[in-house]
Amino acid sequence: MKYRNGLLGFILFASLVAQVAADTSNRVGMVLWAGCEDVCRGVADQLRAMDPGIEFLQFDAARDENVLARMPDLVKDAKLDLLVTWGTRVTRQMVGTKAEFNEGSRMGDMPVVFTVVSDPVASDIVDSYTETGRTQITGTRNRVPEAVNINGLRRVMPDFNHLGLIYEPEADNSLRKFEEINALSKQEGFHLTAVPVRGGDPAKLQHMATGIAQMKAAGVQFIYLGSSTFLETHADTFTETALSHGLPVLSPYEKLVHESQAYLSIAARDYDVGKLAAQQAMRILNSDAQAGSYPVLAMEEFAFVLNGSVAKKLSLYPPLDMMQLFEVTEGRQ
Amino acid sequence: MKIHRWLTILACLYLGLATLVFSSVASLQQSKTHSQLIRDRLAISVKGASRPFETVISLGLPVSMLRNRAEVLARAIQIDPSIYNVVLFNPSGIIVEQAVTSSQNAVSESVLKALRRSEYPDWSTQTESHLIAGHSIYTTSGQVVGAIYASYPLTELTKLSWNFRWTMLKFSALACILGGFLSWLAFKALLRPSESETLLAAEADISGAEEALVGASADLNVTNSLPVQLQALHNSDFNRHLNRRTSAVFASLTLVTLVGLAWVSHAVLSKSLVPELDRRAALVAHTLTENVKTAIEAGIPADQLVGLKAALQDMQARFPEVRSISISLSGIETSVGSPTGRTYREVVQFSPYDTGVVSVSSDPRMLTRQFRALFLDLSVIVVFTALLAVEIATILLSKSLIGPISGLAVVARSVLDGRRNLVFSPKWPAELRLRAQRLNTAILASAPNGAASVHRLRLASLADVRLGLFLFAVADEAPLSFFVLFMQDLPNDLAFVPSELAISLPFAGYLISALICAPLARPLGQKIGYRQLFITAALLTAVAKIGLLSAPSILVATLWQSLNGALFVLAMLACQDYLLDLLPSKERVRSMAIFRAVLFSGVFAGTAIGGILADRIGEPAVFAFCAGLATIAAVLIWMQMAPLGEVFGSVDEDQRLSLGFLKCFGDWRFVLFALGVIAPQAIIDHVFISYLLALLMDDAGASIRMIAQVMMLFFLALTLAGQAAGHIKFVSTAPQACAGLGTLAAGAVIWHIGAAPSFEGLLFVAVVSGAALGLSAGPITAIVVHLSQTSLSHLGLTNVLGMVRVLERAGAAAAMVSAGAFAASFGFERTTSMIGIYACFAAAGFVVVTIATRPADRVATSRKE
Repeated sequence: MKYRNGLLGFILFASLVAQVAADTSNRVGMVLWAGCEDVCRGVADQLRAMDPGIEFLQFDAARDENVLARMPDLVKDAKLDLLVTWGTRVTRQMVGTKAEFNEGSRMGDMPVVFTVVSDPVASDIVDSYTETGRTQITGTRNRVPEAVNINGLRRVMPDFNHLGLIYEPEADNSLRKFEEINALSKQEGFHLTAVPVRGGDPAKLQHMATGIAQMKAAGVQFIYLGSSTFLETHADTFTETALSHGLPVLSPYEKLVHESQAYLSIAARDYDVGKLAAQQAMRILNSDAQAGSYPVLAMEEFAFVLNGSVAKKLSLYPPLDMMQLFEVTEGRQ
Repeated sequence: MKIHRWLTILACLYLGLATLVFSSVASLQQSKTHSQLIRDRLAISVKGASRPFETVISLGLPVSMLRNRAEVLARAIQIDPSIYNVVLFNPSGIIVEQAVTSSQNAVSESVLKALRRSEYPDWSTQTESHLIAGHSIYTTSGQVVGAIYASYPLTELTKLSWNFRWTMLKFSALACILGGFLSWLAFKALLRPSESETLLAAEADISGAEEALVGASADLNVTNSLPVQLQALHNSDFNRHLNRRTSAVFASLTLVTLVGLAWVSHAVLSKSLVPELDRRAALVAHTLTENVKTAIEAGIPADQLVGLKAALQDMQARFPEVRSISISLSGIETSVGSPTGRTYREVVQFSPYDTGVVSVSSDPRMLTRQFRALFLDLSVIVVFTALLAVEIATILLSKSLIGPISGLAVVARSVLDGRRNLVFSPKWPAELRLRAQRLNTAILASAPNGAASVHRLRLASLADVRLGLFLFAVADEAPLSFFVLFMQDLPNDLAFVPSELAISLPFAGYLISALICAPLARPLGQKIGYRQLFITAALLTAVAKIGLLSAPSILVATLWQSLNGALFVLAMLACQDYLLDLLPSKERVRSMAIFRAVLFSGVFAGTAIGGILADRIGEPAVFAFCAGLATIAAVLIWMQMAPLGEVFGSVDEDQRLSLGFLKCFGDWRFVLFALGVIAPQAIIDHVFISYLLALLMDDAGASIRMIAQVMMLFFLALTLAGQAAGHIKFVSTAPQACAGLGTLAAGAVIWHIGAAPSFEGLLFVAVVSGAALGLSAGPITAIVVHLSQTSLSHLGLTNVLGMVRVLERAGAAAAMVSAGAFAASFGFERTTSMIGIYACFAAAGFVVVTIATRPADRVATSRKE
């Protein structure tokens, strides 16, 4: 009897400890558009580095709009402590726009950290980078100002004056980027040839291929990826097509230089972007303040990455002074 | 009397002091020169390392955002492995990245200070452990957004410094031994008894007195309790004779020794210049090589390097010492500039397949410029040492030879005249002290009324104050070279005053307090004694210097500097008044000219030494050094200056300062003198020399270093002219004409240069102005004294002198304000011309009226006053 009481006592104590432990370990989810890539891995690794007991759940829309539409309910059911959203499309779907929810969010009181959103202000997700205007929403930003990209092109190609851009009019982020670059072309004095791609992926691929040919004919000197999940997903096809027309691609995503045939990127490493989002998430989880009280955290390190083999194929080499700050990769051969 | 032996000892002592001073200052200069040379070399790597970050900024990103920044910084160490570390930091001093990881997360205060103080992108400094060269990174709008510095350990500099000191020690010892031997030969030849009639006469007098008093004996202990009889040491034939001979020997020794040591220093330092230029050319070549290698390693074919020519042009622009630079690679030669002078050439293996040749030609003018700068720096040290040596020689000769012999001669003459009422006790040389003791014993024993009728003779002369005044002036001026920068580093606690204006407050405080205290100096000196006044002022100056060194804010520094101004003017005028009261009128012009020359010698020496000291030992230490000098000056004055109050008694009622000194303007002669000489000279000194000259030279393309050197030439001309004035008869016999014509000459050249300023012309004007002011100093004092004894006798010397001192300072201040306002509308050139025109017409009027007046109104110092 004595032993039985002792055993019961131990079990009771153990279950209490387990309950406390279960209560204190955080559940963080991340909604993705096209599977877990470098940003997602950066988030996961950094979260676990900062809190080994953390529970990290992935919600992959697998590039399916229907799945994405069901995501808010799925996430709510998961009873997360914090949600990380990947990309403009996903973020708008999960939290809604300012116009729709004002200071609130589709996720209610759940804190949300967005990442890989090219222009969260123009996309009506937040008011500004310093004051989000949303009670439970903040995020990270990871892109250099577009003027830096244009300045970079001018240093690489001193006679640069004609940029090509492929964009998705149906994707808000892509459309916003087109508008931004179009305005910048007037301000900075360069020509812009922009080609829209519409419909399903096969149609978009077709539009892209013909668009690149049109750009070449129009005298475009550089193609800029802008902001397009489609082009990012079909990076190999996109960059190889451009290369076949002798057109270098400037990418806002570093991995397109390393893993595809993009010529140059002035960007942060995706994995580091994910780590930054995780740091922002942990700040919120470890404090009593509401997520919206944190300004959008900016990426602090960027690299000028050049694909050496593409440069060789195009016989387009940056000047000697620029080479001193470039990181050079041979890319995927 | 074997004077030549004593003079030889003095010469050795003197040479020892002179070589010690020269070697010490030259060592500081050597350390400064080598430190700068090494830092200039380091600057090449820093400029190279900063280029990619400047590119990042030009693209629109902060330097901290470059991900591979550590790798970019580390490349500088690959180029020059002697570099200890390369650090990228933001303007507030937080380290953004460093090539070698350390726990340090902020740069040192000295690095930040060097960055803040520099008006140019390149700057450098030295810490306790490292030599540092930095380069600021600017936005396109000119705002500093970051900086990079690289550091070398001090090992190389320490080794060079020890080698130099050892060399200087050897040559100084050789100079002292050789100089001693040569001086013995020279004095033996020059001071043969048959050629020294006056010396012989003095010796005959002393011997005669000894014979007259033979056998008499008394207790010598009473000597010190006897009342003092003060006599001015006259510039007698004997003094002149001895001065001429000894001056010739001492001057020759000084010249040969200092020029010799300067030549050795120049040779040692010059030896570093050519190799250093080669090292720098090699570094430029290595920087280019590394850049090209980086591109080739990135996969760019050697024959398709883009922007190579532009990169070479950029390097040529960034490194002004590079005359030409070329690279021959894959059979293609790319070059900029035309090679001349020394060329560094290196064969480089850029990749396993690419070998090339990199050549860098240094601009030969760079070497010439460095040689010239070094020569001028050492010349300044030679002049500084020579000026100090002159003062040391003067006091050595005066106190250990001329004074003792003159004193003994006076006593001997009194014995021979049958008075036997004076004793004299020189401390050295031993031979004279023993003879004086014998004489004193006999005089005390044989005095008609015993010891009660005997006085202790004390001789006083200009030499009493020279070294003290010189050192005090050095102490006052030494911080001038860095004072503005020192103020800029202090917090401005007067929030309502803009910082630019706040840093000028200490200068204003200095001038205003000097202006207020100037007329009070004489009455105060007469009341408490000139010696006490000087000592008090000098000791308080030491306190003020320490106060400045520890000042926590601009306001506190202003208070200390104002006190400094008041004390400087009180101490300086105490010396002047001492001489005015002591010296006979016929020596006044000469003595006042020399007095002013000594004062400006100190000003020159202080300015010359201040910059070197600040660079080597730091600004706070210079303030402490100046405090020490002021204390030494106080001690010297305490030991040398006779306490006039004890001898002359209290001040007459009519000598007290009162508002009545304004009545000076009731006399047309005073007004004419004030407007014709005092005011123009004050304007030339304080407005043209101190203000406009630097601005005009800047417009003429002169560097700050050149401007400082021309200013020093002005002081030197003033000093030399002042010293020479004592030997020019015209200066003593016609002081009014001398002062008037001097002012006229200075005015004429200033008028002319205002019409067409040029560097050479301004140099000439600085020298002429200095000489004119130097020649006029004695005559001005003579005229003041003359007026106070003739048409303004009812006011007394105190009031007339007080009025002149106020006029000199207030006139200068008012003219400075007016000149600033005039220049704002009409430019610096026309302002200069206006000053010249005024000086010309005013001085011409003074000369004409003086000549037209009856002779009785003219000053003639030969007449008895």
